[in-house]
Amino acid sequence: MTLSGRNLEAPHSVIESNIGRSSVFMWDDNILCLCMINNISALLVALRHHGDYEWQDPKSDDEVVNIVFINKDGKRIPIRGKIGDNLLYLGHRYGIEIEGACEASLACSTCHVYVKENYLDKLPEPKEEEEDQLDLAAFLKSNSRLGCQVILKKDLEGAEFALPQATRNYYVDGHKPTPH
Amino acid sequence: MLTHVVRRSFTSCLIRRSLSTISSQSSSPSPPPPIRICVVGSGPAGFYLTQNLLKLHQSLPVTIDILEKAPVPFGLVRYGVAPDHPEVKNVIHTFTKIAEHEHVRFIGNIHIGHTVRLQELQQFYHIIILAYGSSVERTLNIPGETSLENVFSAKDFVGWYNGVPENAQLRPKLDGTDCAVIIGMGNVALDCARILLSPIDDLAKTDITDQALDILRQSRIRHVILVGRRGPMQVSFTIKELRELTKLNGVQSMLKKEDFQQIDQNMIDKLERPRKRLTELMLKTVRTNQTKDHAERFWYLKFWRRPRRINGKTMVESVDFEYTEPVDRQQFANENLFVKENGTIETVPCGLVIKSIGYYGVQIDPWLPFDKERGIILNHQNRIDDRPGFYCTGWIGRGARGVIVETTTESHTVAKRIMDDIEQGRLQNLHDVKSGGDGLISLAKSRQVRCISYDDWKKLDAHETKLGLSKGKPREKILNIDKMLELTSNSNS
Repeated sequence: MTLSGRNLEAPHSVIESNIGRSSVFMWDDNILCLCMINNISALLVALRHHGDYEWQDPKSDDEVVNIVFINKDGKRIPIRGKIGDNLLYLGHRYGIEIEGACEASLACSTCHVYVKENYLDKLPEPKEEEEDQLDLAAFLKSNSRLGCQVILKKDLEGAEFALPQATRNYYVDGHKPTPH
Repeated sequence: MLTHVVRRSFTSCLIRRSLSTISSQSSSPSPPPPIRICVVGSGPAGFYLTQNLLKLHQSLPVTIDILEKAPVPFGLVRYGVAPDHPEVKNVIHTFTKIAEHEHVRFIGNIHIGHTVRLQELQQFYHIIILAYGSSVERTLNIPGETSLENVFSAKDFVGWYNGVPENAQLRPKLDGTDCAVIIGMGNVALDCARILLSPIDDLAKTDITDQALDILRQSRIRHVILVGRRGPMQVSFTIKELRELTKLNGVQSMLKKEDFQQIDQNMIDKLERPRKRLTELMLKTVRTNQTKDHAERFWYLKFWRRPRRINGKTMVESVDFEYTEPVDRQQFANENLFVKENGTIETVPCGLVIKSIGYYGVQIDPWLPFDKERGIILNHQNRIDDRPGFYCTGWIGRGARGVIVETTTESHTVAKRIMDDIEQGRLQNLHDVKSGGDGLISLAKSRQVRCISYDDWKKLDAHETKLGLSKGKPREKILNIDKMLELTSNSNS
């Protein structure tokens, strides 16, 4: 089953995703070929994981969710997102300096953000896997979350997300051991 | 991160640079020579630094060459990350975008310090950053460590299942024993444990090498004991990896209550969050003592033991450990606890030993200022001591610890420092015309070395992926260097 009519050559890369028992084969940046996908919602999740959805503009004002990123220098960057946008990929679309090394698979903490206090409890509780990765984030605070786990919805209108400070001294002597 | 659209606008700064250059000849500005930057090492440190240099250098003409000793890029992302952690390897997509950037060139199969001396790089580059990691394993220096078979460093064992060419002939014997001892309690130790304990059908779907799968299929190992020199509050592994091990199919955790008796709620409440959650998970694992139905394999943690001697005739048969205890009992929960031996020896029978006690870096050239004791380059804030124009980043500059987030964070800082040095005029020779990769590749060729381009790698990549596809694996890694080089040189079908 393919999404386009293209003839398929060997896949460029295979991403083993956590979507149930499905495998997603990537032929290039924009074409997904789905084999053994169990259901349509898994397909939608796969599209969202890739970041294509965030490049679509809101279709109507009903969809719009305005948020603000605050980058490491304190500069405020307002962004017009929409319901369902993944904060990490939305940030990527607008050039926000938010890393996403593992591509939203809860295998790193590089998309760590601070959520403005009164919006924190509008977000669903973090999964255990998210908490495990937050343990390794630098400068962890009580309002820390992983950006890749934030999905925009109406009651996040006006929410602000600050990036942690990048400056950090690296000591070789007397430094607390970090795991690898 | 690279956005889909990379904005490049050199015009305004080209004019600015050419006007600021002291030129006696022309009245019409000619484009200034690009600044040639060279990054030695194509793992996360090298790639993330390149990404950040590209961002900062959008206003200056710059080329960045990423050099790599192996014919293939990505360093530990290809050869270190466990096969059952494919999400951690997603960074490769980001790295690919960086490598394919117009001003970036990947140059593989070039061994700096060997084919080309470090100082020689200055002919071709204005700025050189060393990011070649830490590839040497720490040793125990105990009898039997090097003379007996089936005693491996984790570096070699991981290299073996991950397809590192020099470890292809390792051939661990896994069918002559039911017990493995892993010395060390970090994430690499847990990786090794997981590979030994995982159901073979689960491993068969990963990019673990077929060769390793064949040997693992014959494995009789049922008990894996991780041994640590200190106590439960000093373990180096992290919670995700521990949790993974407790949930492994058909595998039962065998933590001992007695080992955790000293930990009370008062102690836990004082801990920082990561240590607290990790300790709580260990306690929960002990308490619930989930006896899994049909558990066929078991893992254990043995604390307070320092390895003294490895015993056996030709192959390992047991390890002697000396018991340790805290020098100061009050410090039980301290991450930097000091221990002393107490003279009691315990002999643990086993047929496989893996030493997983850390890594350090090598001095790739005598001209490189180096701390041999710590295994890092001598540097201050990433600037290599007494070597203007030379920088270091990643494990080789700060020690072999940290996961991807430490590397991405550091790369921002290092890029800024380099940019600062350029703007403050601390680098003398930036006006010189240098040939960058063209010159380097010619020199290598004159020394009978063929460098690998990124497009060459993509041919090998496609081949490995296609091979893997037919077996339901993400890829089948080629283990032989000559074969790798062959596959990068012509388009095979």
